[in-house]
Amino acid sequence: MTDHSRRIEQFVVAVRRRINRHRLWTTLIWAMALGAAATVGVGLFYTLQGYAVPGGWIVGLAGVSFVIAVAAWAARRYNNERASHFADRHFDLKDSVTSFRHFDAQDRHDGYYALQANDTTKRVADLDHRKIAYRLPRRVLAVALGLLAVAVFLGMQGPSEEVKERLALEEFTQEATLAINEELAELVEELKKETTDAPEEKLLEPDKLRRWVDELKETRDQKEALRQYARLERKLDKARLALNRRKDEQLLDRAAKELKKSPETKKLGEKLQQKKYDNAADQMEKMKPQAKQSPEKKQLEKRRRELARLKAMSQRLAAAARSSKSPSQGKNSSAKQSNKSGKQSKSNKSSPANNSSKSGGNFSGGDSEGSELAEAIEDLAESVEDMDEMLKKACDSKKCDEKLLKKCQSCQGDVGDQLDKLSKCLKRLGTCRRADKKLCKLKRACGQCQGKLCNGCCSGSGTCAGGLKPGWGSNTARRDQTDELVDNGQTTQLKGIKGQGPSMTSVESADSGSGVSTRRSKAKQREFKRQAESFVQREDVPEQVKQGVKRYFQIIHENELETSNKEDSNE
Amino acid sequence: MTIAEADAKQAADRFIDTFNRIRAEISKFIVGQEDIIEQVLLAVVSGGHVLIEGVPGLGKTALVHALSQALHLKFSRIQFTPDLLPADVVGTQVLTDRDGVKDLRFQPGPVFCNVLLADEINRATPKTQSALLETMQEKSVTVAGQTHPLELPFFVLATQNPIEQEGTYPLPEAQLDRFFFKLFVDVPNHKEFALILNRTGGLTRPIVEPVASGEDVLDMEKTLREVPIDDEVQDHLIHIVRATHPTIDGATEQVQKFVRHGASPRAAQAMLAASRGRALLSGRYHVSRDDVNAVAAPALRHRMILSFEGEAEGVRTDDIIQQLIEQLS
Repeated sequence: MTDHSRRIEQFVVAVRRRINRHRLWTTLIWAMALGAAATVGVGLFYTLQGYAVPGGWIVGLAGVSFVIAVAAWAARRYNNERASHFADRHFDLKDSVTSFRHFDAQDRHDGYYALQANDTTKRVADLDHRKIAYRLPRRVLAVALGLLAVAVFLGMQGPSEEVKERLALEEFTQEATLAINEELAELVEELKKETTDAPEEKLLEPDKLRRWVDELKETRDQKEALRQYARLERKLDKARLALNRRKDEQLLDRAAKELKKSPETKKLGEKLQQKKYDNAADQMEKMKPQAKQSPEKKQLEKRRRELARLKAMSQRLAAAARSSKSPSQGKNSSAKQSNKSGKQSKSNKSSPANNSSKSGGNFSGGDSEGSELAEAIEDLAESVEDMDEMLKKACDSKKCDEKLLKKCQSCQGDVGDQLDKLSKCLKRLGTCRRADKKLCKLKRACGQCQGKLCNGCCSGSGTCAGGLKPGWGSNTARRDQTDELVDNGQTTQLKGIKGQGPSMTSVESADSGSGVSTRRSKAKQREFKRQAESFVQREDVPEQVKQGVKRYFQIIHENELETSNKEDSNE
Repeated sequence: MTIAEADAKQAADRFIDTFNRIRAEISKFIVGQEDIIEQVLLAVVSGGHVLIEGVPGLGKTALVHALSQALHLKFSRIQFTPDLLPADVVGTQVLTDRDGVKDLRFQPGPVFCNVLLADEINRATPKTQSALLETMQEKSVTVAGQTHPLELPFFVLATQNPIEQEGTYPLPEAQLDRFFFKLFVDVPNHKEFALILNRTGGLTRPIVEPVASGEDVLDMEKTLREVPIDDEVQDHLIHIVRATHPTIDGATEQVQKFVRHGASPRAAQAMLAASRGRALLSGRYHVSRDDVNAVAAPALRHRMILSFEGEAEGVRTDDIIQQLIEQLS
């Protein structure tokens, strides 16, 4: 490197450094302006919604702005070539430095090139790179500072009261959902531990319950939380519905009343009334005739006496079963009975296919189960009747032959089978009842959880559905404030179909001329009809009451028809 | 300092010295017009011809006459008229009788000189104008199949009047392209007017003395061609010349709209030579962008042919060139 090139290169490097320093400042000022503008934008976005600007955003934007500034500076910074151009322009060197550097790079040093190098070196020696003044972008700086001030102001703003409450509620909801989920999980675990009985476990399916509870999420959204608990509650309702043995229980209630009438069966009746179905089943099993049949008359009569107790019980049970059936069902059952032919029908009923369909399903329907119990009771009554008849025949005959004895033995077996079947039904009912209780407990807990969430919402927001918070009253008679209804996820949207369903309004046509308007009475009649229909459709109303209401309206209708016919005939 | 460097320094100093002496001598007679004098001299030392345009009485002919006197060169003047014939310019064969032997002998025309003043060149017919083509480019004359070289240095300084267009024949593009520079002589300012009157109004008139010879001019041309130019600056020059063409990529909208033909490579050569001369005169030993930009207008203005739209709009080629330079700088 020649002396000329060294000196000129030094000058160029000094110029380059100075320019790059200037450019760095300028780039930082621009980055500050852009960063501040972005922060103001984000700040406005949050502040207008009532939130405080998250510190992460401010730090992040500042960091990103700085990184962008440094990257932009690095990309746009001057190298020696550009610096030499700048020096030529700035010091009016007429391309001396640039030309020299290029000639030097091409290794041209003789003649005019040497003269050019000398000349350039002389010119450069007189120059001072510090005279390159920095032109501060004043406007940009002013804008940047202004934006920065606004950004700081926005950054210092806290959240609004409303948002604070909302955030508190969200936090509460999150904590509450976490606690509730844990509580429900513990409850399910307890249920699982309590459920030692295999059939009950099969019905209850604790793993499934556990899965349902595990599906519950920890959420900040109160509505979503309420919705998920409502969903769980619905699932539990469905499960309970599948376990529902309402008809059986009604039948057994009735049977209990019947059984209590007789001192022999009073104990059994009491157990049934107390819904201790397992104990009742045990007691029934004890009533099973077990002794071997002997041809002796005394023994036969003893058996018959023993059977009398069972017969009384079975007859009372059968009476209760018959009374519980509706007239149509009764007809069907009587038809069935008439069609049945002794043992064949019994063996059909106790076939494996039937058993599997009845006991296999975890949450099978209550109606089929009801009929099964009734049938079992009726079959038991029949079997006991048959056995009683056989024993009577055997006692009446002078000599009890082997054939008759075998028949008696067979009847005894049938009775035992039917008793087993009935006791199984009772045990299953007991299991269902226990499982239902547990599901009910879980459901109750779920409902309580929703209540907790709602209470939290009311206490958090200060206002709750239906009124202001306690202690806040109003002197004015009129309430100006509208309270928001809390959506607990249990609302159901009903969609009507146009043209279908009862309408509250209708056009009444009447003949022209004099007459008495019946519009009011018709409307009242319609109202009664609607009420009656809704009453009849209610599930919690006992069947007897429903029948009574139906009957009442049928009678009224008949009377109305008669009076109208009479009026027509008179006219 | 090396020998080459010392020689270069000496040559450069001699160039500047001679140039300044000629300029000073011409300035004795010509008042003002410093730029025109410098550009004419740059063209002369670059071996080029100059077309000077200006209204009558601005001293065009006087400038050329003063130049020829300052250079101590053989000077000829042709007043171009419509009836002027090529033979009147380049010379012709004449029948001579020498001792009873009749012979055809070439009679040289007025072009056989060092400095030719083609006054009002646009008044001659194109045929006569074309007679100068070979003379200007090849610096020789071919008559009756025989080529007669001209004495060097040779340069044509042509003048034309822009206002009297009746009975004129515009120079063809080929002819125009052979002119190194086209210069516009402007009206002198008040002070210059007064000086002109003072100098010419009395009994004595300034006398221009010869301060340089033809050899000096040729030496100056040689010196000028050695001045280095950076590749970047040369690229800048090429960009300017190419940008005058409407068909190339990157041509400005104005060029595309108003220019029919752009400048030739001869224009680039002229610009390079003139830039080098200008650099030396500025005391620099390299060509800068400013030198290139400064000589662009006189070197390009007559080589750019305007389109019909350009002519109709009254667009000046100087404006287009200025815009190009601003865009490329």
